Amino acid sequence: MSESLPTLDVQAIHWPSVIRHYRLSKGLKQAALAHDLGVTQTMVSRWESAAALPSARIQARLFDLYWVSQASVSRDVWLDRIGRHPAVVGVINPAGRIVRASRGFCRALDCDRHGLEGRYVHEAFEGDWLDLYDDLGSSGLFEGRVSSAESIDTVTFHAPDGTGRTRHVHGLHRPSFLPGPEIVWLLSGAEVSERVRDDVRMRLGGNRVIRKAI
Amino acid sequence: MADDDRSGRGEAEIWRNYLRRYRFTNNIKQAALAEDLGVTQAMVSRWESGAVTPATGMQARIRALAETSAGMASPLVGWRNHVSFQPGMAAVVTADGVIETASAGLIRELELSRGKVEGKSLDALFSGDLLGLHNILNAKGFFDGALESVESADMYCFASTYKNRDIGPVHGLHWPHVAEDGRVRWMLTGARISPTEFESLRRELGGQAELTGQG
Repeated sequence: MSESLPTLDVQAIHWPSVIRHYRLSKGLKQAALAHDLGVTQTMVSRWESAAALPSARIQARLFDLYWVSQASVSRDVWLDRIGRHPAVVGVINPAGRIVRASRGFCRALDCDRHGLEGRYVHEAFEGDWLDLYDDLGSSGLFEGRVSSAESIDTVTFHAPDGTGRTRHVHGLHRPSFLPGPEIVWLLSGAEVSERVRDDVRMRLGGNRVIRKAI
Repeated sequence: MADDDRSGRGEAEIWRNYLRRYRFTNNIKQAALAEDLGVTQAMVSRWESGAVTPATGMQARIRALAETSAGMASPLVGWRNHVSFQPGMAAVVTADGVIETASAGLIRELELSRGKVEGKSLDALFSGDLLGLHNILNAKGFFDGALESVESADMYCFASTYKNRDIGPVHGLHWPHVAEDGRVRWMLTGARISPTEFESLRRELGGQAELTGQG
C-alpha cells in the first residue's frame, strides 16, 4: 500500500497551475470554484497569481476534486485495480520510484511484482524511459503542469536475477493526484512490435509529445 | 538550401515532424491548422507526408503560430479521450452492447479502422466468449451497479461477417463507469496472453470470469 514515502521537496506542487488547470478544464469561473471551496473569489484569484498558498485543507480538497473528475472510485480501489490490470500500468512517484505495477506490466517483463515495485526507474531500466522520466519531470508533471503525454520507447529491463529484456512500449502518461498531496506519474502502455513502434514514431513526429496543462 | 535531393528530403522531414508535434501537442486537426494558415487541408496533409516542404514564407507563419500557442492551456483529458488514446486494448461499451469508444490498442489488435469498430454492436464484430461475457455482466446486474469489477479470460473471435477468424486469448479486467447520461458503461480493458497463460488464468478464475461484487 502507500507506506509514507520519503517526500523529496525538490519539486513542490505548482498550485497556480493546478488550480487554474482544474478550474478551466471544468469550465468554472473563479467565483464558482470559490463557492465550491467555501472561500472568496479574491482568495482564488490570489492562489492563481501565486500571491497566496492554499491551506493544507484546501490543498487536500482540490486534489479530491481532481480525483473525482478523473475516476469514479476511491484511490484504494483504483490502486487495487491497477495491480490486477492486464495491460502495462505503473504508478511512479516524483522520485522515480515504481509504487505500483500491474499484472500486465510484470507479464510483459516476465517478472513478478517485486521485480518492479519499490524499484527506481533509473535502476530497473535502461533506455528511453530514463529520458522520458527526465522530460516529464522538467516539463513539470510532478508539479501539476502537464495534462498528458504520449510516447514510443525502447527500454531494457534489468530483472532482479541479473538478466535483461528489451521491449518496445507505446505509452500514454498522465498525472494522478494522491494524498500528501503528491502528484504521481500514471503510465499505461502496451508492448508493440518494431513495425508498430516505427508507425507511432512517424505519427508523433518523434519519440514523445507532452501536452502542458497550462 | 534544397538544391540537392538529400538535403531537400531532410528538410521536408523536419517540417513534417514539426507540424505533427505541434498538432498533437495542441490537439488540433489538420483542417483547423489549414484554416489558421489559410491553406487547404490537402496542403497540410502533403507537408505532413513529408512529400512537400512548406514555402519559406509559410515556414515563418507556421513558426509564429506554434510559438504563440506554446504555453496555452490544454484541457484535462476526459475519461473517454483517455480510453481512445490507450495503447492497450480498451473500450467503452453500453448495456446494449454497443462499442461507443475503442482504444488505439484495440483497433490495432483488431486490424480494423476506428469507423469499423465504434458505434458497432459487439455481436456485429465478435462471436464467442466476448458475447458470453456481455451476457454474464447483464445477468449479474453489472449495468445496475451491482458489481465492482470482473476479471476474465476470453478467447476473442470475430463474427461470421469476418469469417469467425480467431483473434486469440485475452486477459480482461472490467469495471462499471457512470457516464455523462448517468447510465453505467462497461469499461473493458485487456491484453493478449499466450494459450498457456490462458489455461492457467481460467483455472485461477474458476471459469471464464470472476466477479467481485459489493453485496
